[in-house]
Amino acid sequence: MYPDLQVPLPLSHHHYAAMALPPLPQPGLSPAPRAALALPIAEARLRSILMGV
Amino acid sequence: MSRSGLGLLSSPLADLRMDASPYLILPNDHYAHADAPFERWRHLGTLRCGARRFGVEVVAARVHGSGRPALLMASIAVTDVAAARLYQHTSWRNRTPGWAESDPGQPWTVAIGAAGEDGALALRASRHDPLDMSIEAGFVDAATGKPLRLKLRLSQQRAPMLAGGGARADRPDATDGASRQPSHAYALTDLRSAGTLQVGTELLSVSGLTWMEHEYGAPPPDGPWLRQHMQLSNGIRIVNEYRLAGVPVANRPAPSRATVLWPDGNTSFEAGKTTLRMPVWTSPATGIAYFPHVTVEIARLQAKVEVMSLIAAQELLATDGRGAVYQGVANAEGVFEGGASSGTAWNEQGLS
Repeated sequence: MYPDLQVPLPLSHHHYAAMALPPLPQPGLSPAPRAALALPIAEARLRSILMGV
Repeated sequence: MSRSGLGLLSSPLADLRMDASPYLILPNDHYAHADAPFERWRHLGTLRCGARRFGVEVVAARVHGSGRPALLMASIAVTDVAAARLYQHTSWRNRTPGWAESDPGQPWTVAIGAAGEDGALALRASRHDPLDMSIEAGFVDAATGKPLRLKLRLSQQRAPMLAGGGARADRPDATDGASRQPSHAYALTDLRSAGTLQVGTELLSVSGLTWMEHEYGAPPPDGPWLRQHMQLSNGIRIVNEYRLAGVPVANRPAPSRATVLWPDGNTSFEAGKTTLRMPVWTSPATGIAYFPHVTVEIARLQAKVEVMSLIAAQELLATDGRGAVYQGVANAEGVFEGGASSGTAWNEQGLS
């Protein structure tokens, strides 16, 4: 009744024409370093809360 | 929010049941709710490239903190079932102005990270139809060094699922634990999705029927939880969830609750029970035992569905290496209203 599609949809011009695609991250290139955030609680616990029910 | 955005709907979306809940107006509530203490958009589901299957999850979330700026979390995960490999990336940032559009008069956008930055994601839609969306996300998997990039277009095919049956639930207030605060949520359970997935040097055309959730209001409370999403071949969509009172115990049915989306667009909220099955999969990284096989039963609907992860090892790690959550692409098999039904599923567990 709701089969998965096997054929990709045509790309919509109004989506991609306006989107400047970011370059693919390369493993040899280090991303710009960002200072680690001080999280209010342990990261694993915070993430479990944010994904929780 | 005003209803001014309703006029933007294209004809398929005009069939959405806008009057189904007094708490939800689409597409307006698809946009950001800046005053809510918590907000989360999440795409998940199974994508196919020929016989190959991939599980994909993209999460953009914001939460307020006391005495500090609001935090943004960007999480991207891809499971390559054939390779039995999970690729993942999570990053945290202080909230940046304009990260999520709140004005229904503007194009819908949720973006974390600058274009090209490791772990950046962008969710967008056209000005003409806020529920006709696209995803772009890219990261380098730390464990393998492989670059991954996802580019999808997604179009909803039916009425939204209203979480809890009415798109609103109350949660304990995190500050006093006694009062309750509202939380609102809906899901777009039938997103026709297609695009490209790049895994290392492979560029694959992928497609599938994926799922998006949007939730805002009171944040989920602390503590262990489980949730399963099911897209069944009979058109039924189910989210089953419950919170654990203690440590998880196998083969002992526990009371759970399920939101069910019916083919006519109605949503119902059902009592059920959920049983965690053996064997567990114990993460070698964190030692946490997860349950790749879960049985969901809803007696009133003569439903019994087995949700089985397609590969056992689907633990998402915090950046410090601790186990955060289990997010597993899965299959569903069983019966619903007495008839056999099967489909795609998602198996989630927060047990850390």
